[in-house]
Amino acid sequence: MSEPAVAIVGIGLHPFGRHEGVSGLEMGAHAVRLALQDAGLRWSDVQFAAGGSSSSGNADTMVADLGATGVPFLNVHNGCATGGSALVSVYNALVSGACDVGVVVGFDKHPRGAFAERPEDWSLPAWYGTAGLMVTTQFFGMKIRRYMHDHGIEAPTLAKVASKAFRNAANNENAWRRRPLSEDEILDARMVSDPLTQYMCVLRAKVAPRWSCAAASI
Amino acid sequence: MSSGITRLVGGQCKACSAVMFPLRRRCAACASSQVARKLLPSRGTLWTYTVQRFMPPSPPYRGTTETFTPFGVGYVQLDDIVRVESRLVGDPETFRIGMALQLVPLLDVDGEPIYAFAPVHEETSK
Repeated sequence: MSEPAVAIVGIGLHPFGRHEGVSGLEMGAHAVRLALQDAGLRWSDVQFAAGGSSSSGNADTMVADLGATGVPFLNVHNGCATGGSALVSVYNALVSGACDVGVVVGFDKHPRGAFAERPEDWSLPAWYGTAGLMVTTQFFGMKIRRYMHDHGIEAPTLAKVASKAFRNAANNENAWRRRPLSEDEILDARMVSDPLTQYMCVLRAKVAPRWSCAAASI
Repeated sequence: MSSGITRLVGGQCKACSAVMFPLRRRCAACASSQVARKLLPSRGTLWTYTVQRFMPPSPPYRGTTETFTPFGVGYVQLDDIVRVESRLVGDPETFRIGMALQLVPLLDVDGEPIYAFAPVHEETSK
């Protein structure tokens, strides 16, 4: 049994960054329009869509911007994996033969600072939050600390990784922070959750990763 | 807490013997509903750690910017049966993976009891 061939036929991206006055949903719709343009398709050609954000609203309401064509639009809410989960959803719909053309969109726009989550929404007891354990950067700080211990890695290596990312961003017109940072600047930056400094973490000040792709079975 | 001694209450599954913390109605490993209360060891070793440098979002955190000071957080390995996440008491500069820790009581800003682990040498010098 051979699987139907599925291909990404168009992609679109709204630049990362602080864009005052532009909602996450609007940025997502912008990315969808670019993806359709890239593919040479119209929104009315789309038979299925999936997408979502963590804190920027319901993806399906983008039809207000894109057109109320009656397309089934699945809202996905799966944390950092929202975009990937939406992609898998559309892929499976295409493979199943339920549709021939689908669109995937992921977007977000966060308030400044750390995520403020209710422990109860994560199958955790309330005291976990009151005690100060409900912090995302703690988890990653502890995880990398153990990894460094197990594999003999020191903090300068983390700085090399971050510095490489900033170096790449300098050449990417869609990146938010485009100034290269030296390893020393990264190591000397404000400590967030040891051993992670400010520049080893995602800068969450209203950075909105927004991308979209149009996929089709061919 | 009883008799002034702080202990952590976890659970042990009667079906598969898995130990869990916190105590849950169903086994975290096999989903059996046969979970019994189990007092966990009060000593362990530090498996990993970090320092919470900024005040966590409140709520859910119970605290104020005026009184906040950075605190340690870690995973503590209790014998070879379970690993628990916990606040850490003591100087973060002295934290090392593998160091011996002892369960200690801790109060939040409202005086509500939470728990923490502290380096054993600090506990014995009191």
